Amino acid sequence: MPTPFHVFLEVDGGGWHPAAWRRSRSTPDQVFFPARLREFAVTAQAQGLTGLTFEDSTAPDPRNPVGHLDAVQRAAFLAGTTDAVGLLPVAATTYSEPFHVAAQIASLDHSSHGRAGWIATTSPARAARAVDLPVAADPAAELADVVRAVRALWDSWEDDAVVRDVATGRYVDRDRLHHVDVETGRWSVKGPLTVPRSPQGQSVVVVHERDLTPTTHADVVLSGDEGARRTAGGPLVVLDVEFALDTEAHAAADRLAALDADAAAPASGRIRWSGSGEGFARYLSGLAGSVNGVRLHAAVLDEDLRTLLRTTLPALRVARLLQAPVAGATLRSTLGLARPVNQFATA
Amino acid sequence: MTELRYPDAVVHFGVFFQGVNHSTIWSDPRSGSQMHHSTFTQLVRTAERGLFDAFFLGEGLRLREQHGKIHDLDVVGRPDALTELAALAGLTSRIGLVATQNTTYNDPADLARRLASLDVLSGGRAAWNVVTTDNAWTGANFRRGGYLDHADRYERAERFVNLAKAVWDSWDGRGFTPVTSSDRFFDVEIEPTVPRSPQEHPVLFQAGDSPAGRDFATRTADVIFSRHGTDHADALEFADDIRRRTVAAGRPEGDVLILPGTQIVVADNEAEVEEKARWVLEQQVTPATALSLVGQVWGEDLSGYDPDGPLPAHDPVIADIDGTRGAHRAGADARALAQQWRAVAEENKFSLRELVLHHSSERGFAGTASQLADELAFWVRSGASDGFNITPYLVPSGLDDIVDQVVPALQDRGAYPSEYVGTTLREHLGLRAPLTRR
Ligand SMILES: Cc1cc2nc3c(=O)[nH]c(=O)nc-3n(C[C@H](O)[C@H](O)[C@H](O)COP(=O)(O)O)c2cc1C
Repeated sequence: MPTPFHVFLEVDGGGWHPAAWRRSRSTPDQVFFPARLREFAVTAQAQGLTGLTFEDSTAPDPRNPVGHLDAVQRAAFLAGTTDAVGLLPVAATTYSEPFHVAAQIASLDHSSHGRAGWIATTSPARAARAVDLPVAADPAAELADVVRAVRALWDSWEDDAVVRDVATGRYVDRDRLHHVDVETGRWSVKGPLTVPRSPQGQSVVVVHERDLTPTTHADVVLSGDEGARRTAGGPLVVLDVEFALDTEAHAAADRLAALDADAAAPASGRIRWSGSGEGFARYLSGLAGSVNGVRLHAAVLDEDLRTLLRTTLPALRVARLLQAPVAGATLRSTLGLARPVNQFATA
Repeated sequence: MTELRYPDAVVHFGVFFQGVNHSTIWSDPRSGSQMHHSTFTQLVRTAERGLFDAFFLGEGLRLREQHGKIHDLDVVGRPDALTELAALAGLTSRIGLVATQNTTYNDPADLARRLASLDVLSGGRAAWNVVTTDNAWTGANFRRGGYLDHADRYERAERFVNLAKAVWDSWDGRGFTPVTSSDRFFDVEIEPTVPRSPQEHPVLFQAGDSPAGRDFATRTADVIFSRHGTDHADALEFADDIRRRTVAAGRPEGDVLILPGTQIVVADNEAEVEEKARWVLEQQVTPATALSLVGQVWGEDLSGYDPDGPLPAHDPVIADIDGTRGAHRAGADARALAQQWRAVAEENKFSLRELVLHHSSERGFAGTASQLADELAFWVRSGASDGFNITPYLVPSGLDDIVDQVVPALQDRGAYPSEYVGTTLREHLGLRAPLTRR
């Protein structure tokens, strides 16, 4: 049995290429249609992918000129209509309220029965203007602190805090609820969270390599470095791969040239791959020995997914690299991660 | 007999899933989880089957405490409202989805964006119940802490809501214009990213009862979620006040709908109605809850007292009832209230618990389906409200008899729609275009 290899699919906007939305639909706002999101979720789940990721930015960006819906909202929208695929939205940490982020991701974990992940990212400096907060001196350090606060809030209820003890009239055992008293020097959070501990205990925390500090507590690290290697006991390593595939009508290189003619693609810091669907499968199989998985970014979601489904994924399946999550399984168990012990747990 | 000012009016229903509260009976074997997703799914589907306009979630940003300890007698814990509603948006097609969200511990850029996202994802079914609750105690969970003066909360709320509306209006069909503001509360530049939904703006509800709250509602909101949902004369007085304020704000008289929160108990005949209403009340006000409620007035832990004995003989140890911890009657003069309670107890020979049961008995409506249909239709047709935001005392099954019995009885009287007339919440409620887009 080969080492489990996890394939995630990113589904924000029209695709990674800034001209993608022009290819996919007739009007820009059609990329927002809820039916389209649902189609991606149904497909990803049927294909045995480990998870969907939802990129986000609170400011318009050149890659996605038509904007974004809030990523947590999109992930939650799919929670009740799927039962196996992981749902991993971006929620930025630099200027957000850690309390709100903790509550949102915990709620997503509840409504998806344990399939929530959280891609914790830093925000661009200009985002500070939207909330009238000083520009953060060290966004990566801020991220580490927010992750620490959120993890504490997720543990602020012990698993069995709701006792519903009719004899004594107590709904909760208050000794199993905890003030977290996180202090960073810049802000503090009292706790407990208003949301009970979620099915995974702690949702899966995903951080980009570029945002990591030595103290950041991540379960999964996203990397754009082909030389990245998984390490025993370390966070899982997932490579970010942008791809463009040959379609029936056009070679990948020609498609990319046409897209570039519409709008030049800026450097993204991710691996970029183009060619045939079969070749892509061979490339991904080659990665399976060194990393825990890949996150795929299609150049044009509506076009590249078709080739991916027809050629790449079947080849991975034959190589027994795609292991479909079991319906009802948590994202943690799919990823082989243990359910964390509560940091406040009393004996 | 009050005249029927609106003889053709229909009743609008919403369901208020409170989460944290002491009126949801959690001790009954039929009571489900207050958190499991199936609870929300079952309730929202029942409401949609009953053609309810809206499914509401409440909010509280700190767990309630009493005498320095987390309050443990009532339902505690609930999902984040907007996240839960997004999940329900994927499972429903018509019902409105209302998130209670605070204007003190949120940023307009973030909240406007999340509300707009829900609105687009749901096809125009989102609403925001604007609340202003502020106190340093809740603020301890947030970056800026408890920074807002109580007197400023409605001023901040109004600027907040107007900024959110500007964000929603910034989409011109092809792109966005940044929204800037520089005032005492918001010195910001927001770059919107979410296009408009089929109903243009999320519907705005307001919940708050002071004169400042009422003026804020009639200047900015579409619907008021009121607490005047038990006594008809009181509700009519409130509604008339709102109509006056609406006109004073330069809007047509009926431009702001009123949906009071209320409880509805249904049974098959008069004897059963009385028995069921009594049962509900006694489940809600357990002996421990009675001691806890009296303890809020006296300002001390009375859990060692006998609920079947008298009220404490001494005066409360506090002057005002603590307004920061989710107490009922927050801010009231504790000694005056205690004196009044002792007088009522003496006169009626009430024990401590009997007194609390007496004060809690006015929660809403109880009757047979046909009595209830007559009474609810009368409320709406006499102008006391436009409908009701129903708080089920049992979750998730608490709407079943209302949808199966009261709704058809209302329909028989022509006082309830027989199908959804549109797809957006704005259409269900018969609202005009958003205030900034008329
Ligand atoms: C029917 C009703 C429901 C309310 N629900 C909430 C709620 O869920 N969360 C919250 O923080 N405040 C809630 N509030 C509190 C109000 O937002 C407001 O803070 C409070 O009523 C005090 O404002 P006022 O002085 O204008 O009445 C509610 C108020 C009313 C009348």
